[in-house]
Amino acid sequence: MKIVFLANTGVHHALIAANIFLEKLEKDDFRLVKGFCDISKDVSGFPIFVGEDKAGNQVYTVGVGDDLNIARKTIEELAQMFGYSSRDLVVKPVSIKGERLISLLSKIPHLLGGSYLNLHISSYIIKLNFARLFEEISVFKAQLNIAP
Amino acid sequence: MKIIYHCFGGSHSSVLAAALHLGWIEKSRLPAIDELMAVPYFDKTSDEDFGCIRFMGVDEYGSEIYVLGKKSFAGYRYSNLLMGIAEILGVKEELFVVDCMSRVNWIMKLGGFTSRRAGLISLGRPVLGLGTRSAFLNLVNLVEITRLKTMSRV
Repeated sequence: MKIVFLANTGVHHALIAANIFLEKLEKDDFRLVKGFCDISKDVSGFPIFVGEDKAGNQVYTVGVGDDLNIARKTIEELAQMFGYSSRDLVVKPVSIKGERLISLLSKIPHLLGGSYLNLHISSYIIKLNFARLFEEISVFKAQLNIAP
Repeated sequence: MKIIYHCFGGSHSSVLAAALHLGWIEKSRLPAIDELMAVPYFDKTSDEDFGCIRFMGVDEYGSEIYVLGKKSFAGYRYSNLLMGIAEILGVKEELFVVDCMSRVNWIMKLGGFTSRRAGLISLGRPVLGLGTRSAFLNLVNLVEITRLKTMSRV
């Protein structure tokens, strides 16, 4: 199965959600997560491969801007067009409070301190939302019948 | 092969491009507004249609032609999203995605916005017709390029 976490960017809370799903988040410091706040990975719009779980499910993130439901609908319809079902591809939109600020910070040029602000403020915002995000991903995992 | 033409609303440029691809509209002369309105989905979509991939027909090479409205997404990002998902599913070679927004002029955007988003059909449609006729040859060019690129892959 392929699992795609959708958010307004693919390198912030979607990436943390993917890492929670993969049980790869060992410490509370998101800056240690591979690819976190790496905007260069997000600009093309291509899905980003995060890893594979013990059952062989491949996990991706993708940044789609503000219209998560439109992107979700398109991805699901595309999969159906090619004869794939929800057992082959699952799309999980991830939304948190403050995500618009995260998206805005991503657009500040590096020379104006964008990378620094992006890394530290995004980490702070995701930490504030972490408990709810963890719970949401645990429920999602249970719905997929994948043991936590 | 499946070919998806996409634009902002999936209502004008992508639908016209699909109609040109399928030979429903003559490429050698500018179409009248009545001819455009006879094309399925042309200036007839609503907000619920954003993100829906709608089937238009099958061309002479057996390729399935679809249209899609992506709303405010950047065109290249949406093309990459679709191609990326196709790659994940292992069907990249069976999909071709075309962004029509580069061939749309501001008169067409204004007419489309007035007709679909503002709901002022009687005001927007004549402006849309003017813009569409002005963009027509650019869209013909895009479709011809697409047909040439996909022909070799069928």
